[in-house]
Amino acid sequence: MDYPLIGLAVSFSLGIIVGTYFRIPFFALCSIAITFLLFALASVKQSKKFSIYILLAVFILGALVLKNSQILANHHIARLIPYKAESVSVVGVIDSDPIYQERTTSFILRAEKVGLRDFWQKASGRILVRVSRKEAFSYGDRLFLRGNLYQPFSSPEGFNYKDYLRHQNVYLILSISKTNGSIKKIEQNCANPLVSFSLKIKHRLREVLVKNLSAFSAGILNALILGDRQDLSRYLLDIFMNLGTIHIIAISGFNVGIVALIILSILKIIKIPRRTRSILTILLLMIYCILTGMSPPVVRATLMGAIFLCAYFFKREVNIYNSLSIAVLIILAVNPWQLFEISFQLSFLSVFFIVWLAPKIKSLFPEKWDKIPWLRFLTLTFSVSTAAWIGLAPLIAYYFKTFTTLTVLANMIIVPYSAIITTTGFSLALIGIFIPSLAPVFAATNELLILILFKIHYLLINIPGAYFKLPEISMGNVLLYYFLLIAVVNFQKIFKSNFLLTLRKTMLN
Amino acid sequence: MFALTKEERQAILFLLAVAFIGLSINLTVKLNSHLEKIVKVDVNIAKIDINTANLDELLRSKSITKKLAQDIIQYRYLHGAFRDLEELKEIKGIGEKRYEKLKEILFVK
Repeated sequence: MDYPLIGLAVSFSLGIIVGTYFRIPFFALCSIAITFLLFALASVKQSKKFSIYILLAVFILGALVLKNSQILANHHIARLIPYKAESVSVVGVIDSDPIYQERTTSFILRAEKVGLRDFWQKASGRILVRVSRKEAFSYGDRLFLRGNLYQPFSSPEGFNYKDYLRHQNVYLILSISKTNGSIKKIEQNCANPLVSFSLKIKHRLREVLVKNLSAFSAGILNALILGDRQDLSRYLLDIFMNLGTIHIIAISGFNVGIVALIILSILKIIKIPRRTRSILTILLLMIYCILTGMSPPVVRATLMGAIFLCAYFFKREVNIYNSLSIAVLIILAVNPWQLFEISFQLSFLSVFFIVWLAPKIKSLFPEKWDKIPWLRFLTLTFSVSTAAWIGLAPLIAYYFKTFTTLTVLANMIIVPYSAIITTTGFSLALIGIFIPSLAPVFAATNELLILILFKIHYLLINIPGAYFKLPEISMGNVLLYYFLLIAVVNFQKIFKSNFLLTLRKTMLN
Repeated sequence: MFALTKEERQAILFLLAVAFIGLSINLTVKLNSHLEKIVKVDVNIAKIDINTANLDELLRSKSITKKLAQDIIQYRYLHGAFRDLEELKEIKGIGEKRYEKLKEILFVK
């Protein structure tokens, strides 16, 4: 098998899907997994049998990991307070970077103790805290809070907030209003020092951007390089969404790639040896991953980047399908619910389709075009944009009910252009920290580039037929599309396969 | 003269280009203040002008339904241009909460 890890990643994912729909007891799953592992051990000398048993064991493992995440610990806060309770006291540590909106502060809290009617008990699990006033808190603060605890609401149609929070292991919301509730800081720096350090860097970078740029440009650069989308206007997000370019303002592999390139270039310029350079880049990418909020696309890109740099370190060749599969396995092993998150699906599918389809599309152009730099650039950007569009169009239609006709053209212009903005944005953030007096000069260039970015979007979105709103489509149709796509792309392979030859012979006889 | 690698030359060139463009913009704006409108970002750049937007433009935002877009256009037809965004509250179905949301998307010139 050329790509053994793809099989494992697919089996593991299928196991998670099956685990969601079928209620099989934990110990029954354990027994089946052990049986398959024993079969695999017995057939270790027979490659085909061994592979099948391993795939089956990994499939069961997927279901087991999901089952394990569904079973809450005895002292989990969601078990202590299953539905709702008023005037609950909680002691816990802030586990996320607090978000400040107009009149509210919100953050994730890792519960340590819960008090109900003066009876305190040990607790675990994460809750979402909403304070209806602006309060300055930081990641790692240990707090005493009192407020109303309740389950998030679920909606059968559209976006399901309850599921969204559950996928982040958050089962309850603690609401602290102005009149009913209290909040007090007990201690500081009680959480992971690496995360605290990363968030401090983030705040410093954010400060530079906010201080030197207009609110609009700071909002875009905050999203583009720090992963904070809270300052972006809704209308702007809608334009990006309708044109199919929203991925540039969500931290993704594209942004991580640029960051890795910047770090590697700086380290190369200051003459750091090759191997040390790889290790330092992996460490700095990890910090970047933490400061941008560790969303699935960033974790995916960081893991893949780290695998590539390790391969570079050990002078080994790396296969992109296998590294993509490792990233799938690691992310899903940590949190199997990510499989059902849109960002996870879009992130992995886009990389898969770019890697799989882009070379095929590029091969349709004459080879001599590769020798002319600007033609090579055009064919490359066209192939990558088209591959991502073909791969993601049905999923976007399913989730967002939109079909964009201009995605390929828009991405051919926007993606290389936003690479320039990301780099100039980083230059501004770093210059702003080290030589603040030079920051206004860099800020002026950033303002102009961002203004042009918006104008390009505005121009494209005004082209008639740039996008269409679609009626609801079913998941069955989406899967049928992917099945047909694979069949069409692999038509020759399938046609020449032994299976079809045998089938034809049988039919002729 | 400079013993620089290719990467070093590229990085220096990039930083100098960014600084040069920034300086040119700052200088141009200082000398011709009316050019500020062209090179600086307008506060309402990512908003829809409620008085000039047609149905398609209003519908570009997910927060505006077809019914609301039609109501806005009808209001303009009956009462003339919006003088203040607060007038939105006179349209049936727009309460304080919805108005706060729409304030982020619409503006009056």
